[in-house]
Amino acid sequence: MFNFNRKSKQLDYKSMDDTELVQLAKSDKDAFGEIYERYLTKIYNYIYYRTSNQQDAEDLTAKVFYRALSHIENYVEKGVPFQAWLYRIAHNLVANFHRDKGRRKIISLDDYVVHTLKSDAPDTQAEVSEQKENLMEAIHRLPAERQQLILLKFIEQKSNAEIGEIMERTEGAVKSLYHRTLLSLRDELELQQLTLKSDQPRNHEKQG
Amino acid sequence: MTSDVQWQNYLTDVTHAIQSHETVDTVRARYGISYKEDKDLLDLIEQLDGSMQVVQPSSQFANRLKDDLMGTQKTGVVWRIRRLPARVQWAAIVTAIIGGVLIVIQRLVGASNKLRSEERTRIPDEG
Repeated sequence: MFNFNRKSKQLDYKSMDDTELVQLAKSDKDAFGEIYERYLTKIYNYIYYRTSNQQDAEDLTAKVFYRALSHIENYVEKGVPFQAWLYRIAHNLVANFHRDKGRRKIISLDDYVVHTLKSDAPDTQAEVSEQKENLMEAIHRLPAERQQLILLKFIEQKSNAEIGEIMERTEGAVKSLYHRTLLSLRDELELQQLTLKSDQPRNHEKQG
Repeated sequence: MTSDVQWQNYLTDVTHAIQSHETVDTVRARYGISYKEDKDLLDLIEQLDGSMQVVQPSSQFANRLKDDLMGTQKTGVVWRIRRLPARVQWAAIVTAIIGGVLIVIQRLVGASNKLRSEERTRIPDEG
């Protein structure tokens, strides 16, 4: 007898949209493989900028995809893009990670600097400024949802509507949050500058 | 005076312009915002745009995780060796070469010994 269940031809996963792919991925590991290819870099970047550490980013990224693989059978589309579900998993794991560490992760950006120096063109990345480090530190001091917004806006370059779908907010709410985030980031950087300036005379006194 | 909503729309549009490497002057003119009013926020957006670069995960990590997720059962010797650290790979190669040489030497010695013993057994017969 013929086995009609056997795939007669190789499925073209690359041309499928997320909805089709997710349905297939519930029983087909190759379909999940395509989901992995599509979202690995996005999820990795999201986690990397939230943790500023390559090793933590790799560990948490692996956990996101393991969790997605084990729960995809129960995934039900509710009019929200599939990637919102993945980002939600990543968001929760990063939150747990910071909670377990028992402190807000404000880290030296040595890892970040080393990584960008390795991965980017030397001419553009040769001078890693103090300004950049200050900016990243200020971003890390923001509440989690504001960090997420900045990452989606500048790493993913998503529109407010897309960010709204991922963060489960209206487009108007995202615009407003973006405005408030920029203002608080600006204030944070100004505060950093003031602190640096007030520390400098003290250091000079110590050295003298 | 610019309302909050206008500012919100302006910031969205000006961010898009910066990300698309377009001039911000037209966006400014559209909202009637002067250089003085937005300088600090514009600097910040430009700084964010320049600093937030996409970071690629290492291919070693990406491939290993995919293999683990897909449960790929690869059992080939070459594949197994490739997964080992570089130092271990070199040790395996050197061991394989030494092993090969020893086998060849053993066979050569074995063959010559056999030949000698044959010769020894043949001489008394002839005598």
